Amino acid sequence: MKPTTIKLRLEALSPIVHGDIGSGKIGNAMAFRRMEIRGVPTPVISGNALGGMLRRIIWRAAFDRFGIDRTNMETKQWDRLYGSLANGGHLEKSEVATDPNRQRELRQILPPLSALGAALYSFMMAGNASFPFLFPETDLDPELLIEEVSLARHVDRGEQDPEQSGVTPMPVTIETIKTGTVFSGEILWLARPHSPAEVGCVVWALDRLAHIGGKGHVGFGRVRAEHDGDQATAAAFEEWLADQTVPAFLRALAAEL
Amino acid sequence: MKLLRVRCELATPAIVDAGPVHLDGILWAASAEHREAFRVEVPRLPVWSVTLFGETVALASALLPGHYRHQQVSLVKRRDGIDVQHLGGRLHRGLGPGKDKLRYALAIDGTLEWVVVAGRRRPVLKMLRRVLALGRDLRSGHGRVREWDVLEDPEEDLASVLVSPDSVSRRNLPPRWCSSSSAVSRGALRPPYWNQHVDIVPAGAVVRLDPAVLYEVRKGVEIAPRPRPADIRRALRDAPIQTED
Repeated sequence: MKPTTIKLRLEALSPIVHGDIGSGKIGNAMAFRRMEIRGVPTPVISGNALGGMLRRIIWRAAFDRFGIDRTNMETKQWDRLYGSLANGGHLEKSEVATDPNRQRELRQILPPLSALGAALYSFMMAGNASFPFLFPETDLDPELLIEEVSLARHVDRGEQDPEQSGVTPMPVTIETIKTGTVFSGEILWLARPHSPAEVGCVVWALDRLAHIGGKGHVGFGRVRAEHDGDQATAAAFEEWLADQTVPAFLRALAAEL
Repeated sequence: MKLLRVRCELATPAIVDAGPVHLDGILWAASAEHREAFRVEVPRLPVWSVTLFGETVALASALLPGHYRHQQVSLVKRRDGIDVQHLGGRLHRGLGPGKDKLRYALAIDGTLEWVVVAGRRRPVLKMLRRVLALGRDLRSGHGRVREWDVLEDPEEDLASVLVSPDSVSRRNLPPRWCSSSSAVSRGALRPPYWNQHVDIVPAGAVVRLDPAVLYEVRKGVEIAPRPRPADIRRALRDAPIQTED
């Protein structure tokens, strides 16, 4: 039985910023994330970043379609629902017992949760999908894909005194990936069974992925995504978005969290 | 009965704990996935085993992560500004940005290697090809397998599956199988290896095997009888997956 996969290519339409927390300190410059591939440090986009972007696209759209938001739910319940599903959640206490039947029910009723997984405060649900590290497609030295970009905050000295306001010029240097670079990888479903809607939510979100990485508000990280995901599965996810029984289930889940 | 070398080429760094990664555990997991898919309840590994002094041990080695080069990988949880617009209350610290985590993972510049005693090469390779990723944090792309390969090694002694030529155990062993060993600890002798409930001589310890073990290893016994087609049909018909209710 062949595994379910989606081949993905991301073309940078503007420089991409993807900071590396593991790099040594290099002043106020921010290094691009690199991974050693056969001893060669190579810029990569982490699977975590890709999964996080798709997670937000999917769940924000779902909450919007289902008409669930902070204005019509108890604040704490809503925040915990949003935090767990759209942000991945976290564990507040050790998992004491695992209820497989409950997990199967959640997977069946909430395909995006089954695909992406989440920490639901008292237990973990593993996502079935594995999001890949995206590697650059190049035969050249990968360092040639890196471009340093400087950002500076300019100060209107005619309007305010930096000594008084504290607002001073602040140059920052950022390592980015050059526009036109193509990254590729393969999203993989690690476990079976999975429904068409579960695969479809990822296909649907990839169709809407226009940005990745940091500093999007100043034009970084615009991307064009191409993939070979089955559009019939995206239609199955659209059907799920129209299912009127899901909002009540989500509200009940929020009360449990 | 042949000594086979199993090789795995990683596509991304694999996050594995410090402990040994037993090949029969990997095969067991692959078999479990397969049984889940087809609802067949009879486990069977294409690996030979030895039963002696009341213990059955698969003739499959373990990978010692410390013998391979590692590289640092990072895991980061970030909140983006738009998340804040969606929330109703004050930010919950637990929802991020979380602590940045740095971990060491098996580097992707080498080939991982195990040795195993099996009847034929192809069933081992076929089962391993079901294993698409190894280790932890698979959802964020770690541990992806690029390729499995299984090669015959007619030159080497079958007993080398348990102990290397320089007398280092290549897998967890029962203490009674060793006439001398440097360490005994709690662990497991068969999958699942996280169920550490018996005394073992751990993989990586300096040992000398009991001569009786050497004799039996060179003979080899299959770990489980091949299920007959009728048994599989009966399992499919009579034994659906059990649930708690």
